[in-house]
Amino acid sequence: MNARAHPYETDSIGWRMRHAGALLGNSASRSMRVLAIALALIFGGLGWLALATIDKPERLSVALFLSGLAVAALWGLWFSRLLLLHIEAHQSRMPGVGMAIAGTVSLAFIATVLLPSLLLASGGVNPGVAVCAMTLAAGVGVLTATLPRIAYMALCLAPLGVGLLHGLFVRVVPAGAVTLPALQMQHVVWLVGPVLALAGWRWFAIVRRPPADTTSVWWQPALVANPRTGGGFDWLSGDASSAQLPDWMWPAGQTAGAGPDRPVRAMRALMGTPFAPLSGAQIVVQLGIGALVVAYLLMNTTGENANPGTLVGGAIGGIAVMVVMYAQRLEAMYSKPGGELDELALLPGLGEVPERRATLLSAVTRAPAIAMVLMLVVLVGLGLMTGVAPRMMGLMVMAGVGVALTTALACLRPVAGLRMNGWRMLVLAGPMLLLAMGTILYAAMAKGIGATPLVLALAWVLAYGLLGTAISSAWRRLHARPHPLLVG
Amino acid sequence: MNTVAQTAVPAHPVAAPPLDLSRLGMDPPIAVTGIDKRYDGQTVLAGASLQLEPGAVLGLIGRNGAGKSTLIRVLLGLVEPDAGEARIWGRPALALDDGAKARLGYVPQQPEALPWLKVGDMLDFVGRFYPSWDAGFVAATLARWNLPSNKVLAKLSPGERQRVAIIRALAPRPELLVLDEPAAALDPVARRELLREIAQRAGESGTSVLFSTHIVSDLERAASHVAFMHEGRVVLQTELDTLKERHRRLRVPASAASQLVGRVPGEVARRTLPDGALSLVVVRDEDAAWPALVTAPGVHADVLSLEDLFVEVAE
Repeated sequence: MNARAHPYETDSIGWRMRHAGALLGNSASRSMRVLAIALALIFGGLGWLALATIDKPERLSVALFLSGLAVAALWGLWFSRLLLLHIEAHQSRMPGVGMAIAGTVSLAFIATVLLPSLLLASGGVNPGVAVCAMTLAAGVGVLTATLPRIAYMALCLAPLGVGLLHGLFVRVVPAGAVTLPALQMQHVVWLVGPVLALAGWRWFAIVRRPPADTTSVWWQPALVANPRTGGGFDWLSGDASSAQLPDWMWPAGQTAGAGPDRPVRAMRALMGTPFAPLSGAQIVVQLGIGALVVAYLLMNTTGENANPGTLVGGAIGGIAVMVVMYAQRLEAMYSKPGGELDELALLPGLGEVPERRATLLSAVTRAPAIAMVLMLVVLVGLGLMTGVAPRMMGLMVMAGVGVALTTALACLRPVAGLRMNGWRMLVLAGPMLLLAMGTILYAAMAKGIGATPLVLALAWVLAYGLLGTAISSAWRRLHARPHPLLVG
Repeated sequence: MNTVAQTAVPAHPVAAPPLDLSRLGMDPPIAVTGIDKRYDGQTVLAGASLQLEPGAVLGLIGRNGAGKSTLIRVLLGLVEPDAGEARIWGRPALALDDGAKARLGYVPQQPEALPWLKVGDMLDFVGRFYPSWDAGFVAATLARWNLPSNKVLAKLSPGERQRVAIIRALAPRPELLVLDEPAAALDPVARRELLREIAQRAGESGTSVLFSTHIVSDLERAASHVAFMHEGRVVLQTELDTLKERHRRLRVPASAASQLVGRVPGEVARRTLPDGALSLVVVRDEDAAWPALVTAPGVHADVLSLEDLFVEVAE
């Protein structure tokens, strides 16, 4: 066939570029594209800044690392989404689209590897190393997006595991007995091949999966499990994905002993994790995980290499979990029609409106209250073991109470028909959590000399007033509702 | 300009007058009056009224976004309306007691509750709250519909999830059954089976049923009454069997249309045709006479199928 018979010159570079642009433009949402570009510009800019301003030889590795982050952001957040189009094309038997995607990936790869490599080379980085590092970054970006969702969970727990192993290592192995080789820029060259091969294998394996794959969402690639965001924390909302989590990680709770004669327990069972009553085995597993965390904190806050910063990190982690986990679940429950709230509202045997309201409040309060008390006990215990002064301990407790009140407000707002994720809550809870972190950091690291402790204590008294007012307002609104199980 | 063309669709076309059960000492299973509801500044319900008579199977039909689900959620007391009142057996829907809840079954449009529980555990748990829970029906229906009782709900397909929700709603032997698009995720066989079950429950046990749908054939198969919803209002509520004899679509020629000012008795839909003529749908009450316009010279009257009637009302 005569190629000129076609209305468009489909073999031209211009046509291919337009095609690639259209595919890339449609592969991700506008917000995701903006985020990817913004991160790439920020990391790339910082890399360039490092190259231009730092005097030491480390500037090259710093610039290389930051530029790598920029490229990984582009591939992880944006370009990897071409995979979703590729899956569609494969399932729709459209090999032409598949080939166009391959062309687009190649063009994007060349652009994102060569351009930064040239810039880095002009700044003094070995060109070969620069190309390898950017290639590695692109591969890591694709791998990040195509990893199973469970891998993200493992990554969240990795600091705990690494910390525990490091603590054990330091205690068991004599100092200086083992010397690890220092990482050098040239080491990236060894990683390029395996990472690229792994990324390519993941890509094509995902494309060729059967459409009706019934694998648990946690074993599905992050991109496929949640095409909109590629990950996120929606699993905290008690949706289908959290229901498919391993029981040791996200215990589903159990209904034994829950019924109309034990309404609080019944309501907790209906509210699900993290409010649900746990079986004996589930409690043992959760306490075991808690014991590991305490061991980690103990290892890092006592002994010769004690680091109070670990205590702060642990407290901050606990705070974030406290506020987000419970409130997020309630927020999701109160905004989802056809869910547990409908069930709670229409189930007989839970009493009239005042009784039902009291039962609900008991069910909501129980789990966060226990967690809060445990967290305070651990915090105070570790503080005592590390020799924190009593007045500093008092500040820690004040921060803990502030966190408890913030959690109470965050949980009460959805129940009262107010948004938990809105700007009002952000304006109040954001500064509270920053104040709590600052207070714990100060109490753990500083000596407590001068007026700072008093200023912090006064700040907390003011914070209690603000939180108390907000809680009281939400409380009144809750009691003004016809019943407490209304959506929105 | 044609004056008729400027005449808007009447704000509140007359629905069939509801039976006044309170005079007989009975409260209707569902009585909804003048419900308004807005979400984020958008009107979803605008003065919606509805009544369900005991033992009736009322099909609530309307296009997507007509407000069916919101109306159902309001009448069950799951959403607080901005105005109006919803009652179930005479009690405010927002203050139902345990006795009323035990007599009520509800299937939401997308059942998503308790995804972390196994099918059997969920049904066993929920059953503890109902005095007349029919465990035999649960076991038999799970087996008949090939639903695994040891599978976590989150791992079921949408159709399986909907069938579990239907079993959960039917097992307490409810006197009032409310189903929001229950057949949406079902295959034709399961859909037919569900409709048969609904009709059987109403016929044998006197269960009152309200179900929403946008599938006209479902309505014809199971409903005794029909309510058309359009833009947040119930524009027509009537008995289904006699509807064919009691409605007409009238084509009023352009010359006569200009003389037609105001609403015609029983009018439920009106639109101007491209040639300036007027298309009207009128529904008369059981014992009432046709409006004079039906027999006026030049006016053409025809009978519509239920689907065409729905399209006329919803367009």
